[in-house]
Amino acid sequence: MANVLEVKDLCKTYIVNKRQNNILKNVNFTIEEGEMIAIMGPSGSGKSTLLYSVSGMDDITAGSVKFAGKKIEKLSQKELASLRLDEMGFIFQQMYMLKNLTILDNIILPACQSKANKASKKEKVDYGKTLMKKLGILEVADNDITEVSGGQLQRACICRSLINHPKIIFADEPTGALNRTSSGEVMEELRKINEEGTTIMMVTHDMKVAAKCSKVLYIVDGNIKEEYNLGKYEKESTLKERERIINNWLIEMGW
Amino acid sequence: MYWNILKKDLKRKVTMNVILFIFIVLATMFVSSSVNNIITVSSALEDFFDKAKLPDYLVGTTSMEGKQSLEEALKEVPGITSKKIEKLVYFNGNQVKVSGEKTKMQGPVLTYLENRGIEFFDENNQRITNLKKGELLLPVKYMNNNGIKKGDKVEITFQKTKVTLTVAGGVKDAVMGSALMSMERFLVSKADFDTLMKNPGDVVEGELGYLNCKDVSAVKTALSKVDINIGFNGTKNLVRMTYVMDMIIAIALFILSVCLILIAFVVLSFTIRVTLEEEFREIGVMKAIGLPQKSIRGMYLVKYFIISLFGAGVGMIAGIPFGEALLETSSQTIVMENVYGYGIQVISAIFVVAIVVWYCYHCTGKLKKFSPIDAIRNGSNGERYHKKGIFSLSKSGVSPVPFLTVNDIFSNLKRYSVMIVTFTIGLIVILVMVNTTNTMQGDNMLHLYGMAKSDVFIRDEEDAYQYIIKEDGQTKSQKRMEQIKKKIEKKGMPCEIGMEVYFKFTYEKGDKSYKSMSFMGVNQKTTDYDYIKGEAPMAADEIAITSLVAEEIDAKIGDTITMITAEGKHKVLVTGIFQTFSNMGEGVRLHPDLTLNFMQLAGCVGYQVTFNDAPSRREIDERVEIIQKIYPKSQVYNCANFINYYNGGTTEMIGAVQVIFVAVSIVICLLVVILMERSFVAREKSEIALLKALGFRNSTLICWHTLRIGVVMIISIIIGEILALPISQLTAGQAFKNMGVQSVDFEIIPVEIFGIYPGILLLVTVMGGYLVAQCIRKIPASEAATME
Repeated sequence: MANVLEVKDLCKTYIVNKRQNNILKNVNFTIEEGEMIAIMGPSGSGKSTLLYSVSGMDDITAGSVKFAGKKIEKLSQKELASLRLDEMGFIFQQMYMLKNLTILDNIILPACQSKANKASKKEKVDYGKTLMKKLGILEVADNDITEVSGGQLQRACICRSLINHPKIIFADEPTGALNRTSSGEVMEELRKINEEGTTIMMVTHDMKVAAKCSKVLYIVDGNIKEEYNLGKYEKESTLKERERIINNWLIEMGW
Repeated sequence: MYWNILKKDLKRKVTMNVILFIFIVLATMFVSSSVNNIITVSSALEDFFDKAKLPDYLVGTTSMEGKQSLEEALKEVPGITSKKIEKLVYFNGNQVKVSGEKTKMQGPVLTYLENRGIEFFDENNQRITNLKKGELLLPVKYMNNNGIKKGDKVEITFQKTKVTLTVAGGVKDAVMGSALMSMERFLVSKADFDTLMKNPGDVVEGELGYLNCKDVSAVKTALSKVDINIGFNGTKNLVRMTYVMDMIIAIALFILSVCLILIAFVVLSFTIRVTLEEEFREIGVMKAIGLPQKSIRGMYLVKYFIISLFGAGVGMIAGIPFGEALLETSSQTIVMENVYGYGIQVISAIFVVAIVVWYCYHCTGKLKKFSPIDAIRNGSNGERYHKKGIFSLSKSGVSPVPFLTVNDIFSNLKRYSVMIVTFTIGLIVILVMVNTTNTMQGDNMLHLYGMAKSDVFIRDEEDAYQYIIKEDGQTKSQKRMEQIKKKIEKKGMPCEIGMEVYFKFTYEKGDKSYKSMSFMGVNQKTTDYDYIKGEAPMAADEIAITSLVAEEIDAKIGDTITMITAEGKHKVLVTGIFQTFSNMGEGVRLHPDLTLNFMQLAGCVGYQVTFNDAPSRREIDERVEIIQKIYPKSQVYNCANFINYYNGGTTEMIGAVQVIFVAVSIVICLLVVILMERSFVAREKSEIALLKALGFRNSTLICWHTLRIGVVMIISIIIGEILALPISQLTAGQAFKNMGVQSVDFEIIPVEIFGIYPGILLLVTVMGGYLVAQCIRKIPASEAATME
């Protein structure tokens, strides 16, 4: 399997009130195509910073991040924007959408903006509706964003992240603002997407979420302490066992 | 604790607090300077007349053989309670040189201070009580038109007597100081007056009577029957109306002031509402944790009170020089004093603070209705009563940027209403001034001044005395015009030459009598003039009159009335009604076949050249230069410059005011764009970060924001264009009505009205929006993860 993401000696520093804060220190890992990776760690360990650094949303201080063979630290802002538009998808914890657009319009917006996506407008709209049907939210296509539940909104964000057929989806606590039932539903959708071949890298606190991933990276004080290869999640019956394994492992790690 | 929350809030939301502060400064500045301006201007003229002790009625005469003096004539007029008579000497511009050069003037008149009939004021609005020998005071408008300064040397030559006087300053003259009173009073000491009058030579002596009366109409009627050569006469009202051109500028500034106040409050109310809406979330959290409503509200009221206090203080101080600059443009010929001192500024500042605090109180009152969770949700509770987005990206055929632009604007029209209102007012202000200036410079104005349309005007006072103001001037002037025509045609410019002359004759019908300015177009056809009713006079015994004259003697079309000239009484038929600015709507048009002794002329305009080959404006200007070379001693004008000369430089002044209006409008629109766009970027930070995270480039987002400004400006242009002409009719049209003209066809120059000025505003606002939108580059995509 080819590597989608290769991270070597990644460092990220913030200057706050003239004090230097080293958030990420020499982070190294790779993600293969089709993997679903969870990043876990205590609060303030640098999980989200890692996510935004490897996705090009934030500049890195040192090291190298190779995405699909391109070194993102060498790309211009324009090239990074194109990368995010055409090859990456994002799901945020807060499910943010543009308030003047309907759910469907929010979903197809990146497709309409993309020049790499050569499909016609109608094809893009149809694909948007297909995704919405797949995720069970087609009936809210013409609704405003204030007229849907949190779970529906997060599923709409997932549709938006998939509209341009990205190589990888970055998700920052995708179930963080959802109740248990909705969390389960959203994770199930993400799992299905991963099964179809989309690589997913997500930050999570939730053991149940991590249990559905194939690999877990444990980050502490800005460094990947250890990674655990759980293997592909096959069926529901193995979920509890996987959770138990991760839990024990994390306790061993010191969390 | 509350003080800490407040301090942190002021620190954290610097951008919006600064924007609010700036708007409060602007609002106070505009309100204080504009209100002061409005109060001062609206009472200025009456105050000026009172200070100058202007009487009820004025009558100006010229000496003529066989006619009695004014003093003797007034003995026959009952009802005069008091009078003062000034000696006047009418001379010509060629007899004056300032610093060795000839100057532009309409009709110089010499009087001396000790003989004054009214009070005069200097440039500092101080009463002038004495003038030394060797000193001279000149009208402020004349000094400004010719660039004359205090200390310049003026030579006046009467016959062989040359007197050199030093300009001691400008004089504000209630009677002759207005732009429409085509006279310039040269005010000297008695000693210098007597020196010049030892050998006056070819000057016309006269008198100006200042009369206070019990019954002005009775005095007017009695005077029309007395045997004196009246040059001009009129009530205080007529003198008031001669200031209409000067007041047009003051009125224009008055309107600008009102617009500035309106814009200031519209922008301020929007900014307060927006900043408060952003506080809803925090207020909701405070409510949720149990802080009492009163304390929360009080905290925000204190915040806005502090900001408005400082803003109003700065605005009040800035408003002082701004207001003085506004007043200065309109107070050159009128004594305009700031009677309330700085009181208005202080009251305006207090008013703005009160309005801000009241509006905040009103807005925070809404919070009572919201539960804490509603407030956290920024007032939305999931219910919807109408579609939020107007358009659909999935159904439209456009790309995201234009779609987002139009959708944002039409989904949130209220949000953009501030810019639409500001831009529309800004454009209307410009277009009304441009329409007014173009109309005043246009060919149509000549009709309204009682003249036929012409391309070039040649003025020469010496020539007038040599050929026109003679007993046989009617025939002599015809020959002179033939000479001029030949000379001009020799230079390859085929043309016709005509001339407008005017008299002052009495007209009677029944027991009603009225002395009116009477125009005759020598070598002109009466059909070349405009008539609002009836026909042109086509024979020597036919006349057209103005509505004012018709009212005075109760005459209408078809009536036969009596005209009294030096030749005797004539029966004349009224064939038509026309309108004119001259003497505020007073006028009679005579047929050129009427034989008259031109010695009774009250004046003449000069030779009017009309080219037969329809040259362009540029060609006409070139021909003006050629004709000037043929007649180097004469003043040669194109139509626009002649009109400007004829109305005392008012057109030029209005042109200068137009520039001020355009500049102020541009600055206000730019300021509003900058502040509004800055607030939009601050409010939409999370949306911008999200779009960046999704892969939208900086240039795309900047284009989106800039396009919104452009579209809003275009909407404003459409509204402004529709309203500009009706508003021109209401404003400038009203001013023209006061001058005696009931309806004016505004001169619309399409390239200016639909192209240049809207184009300038569009360019400036779009550029401003584009430059401010550059701050979008500073918002990182990762901010999308930390947005609320």
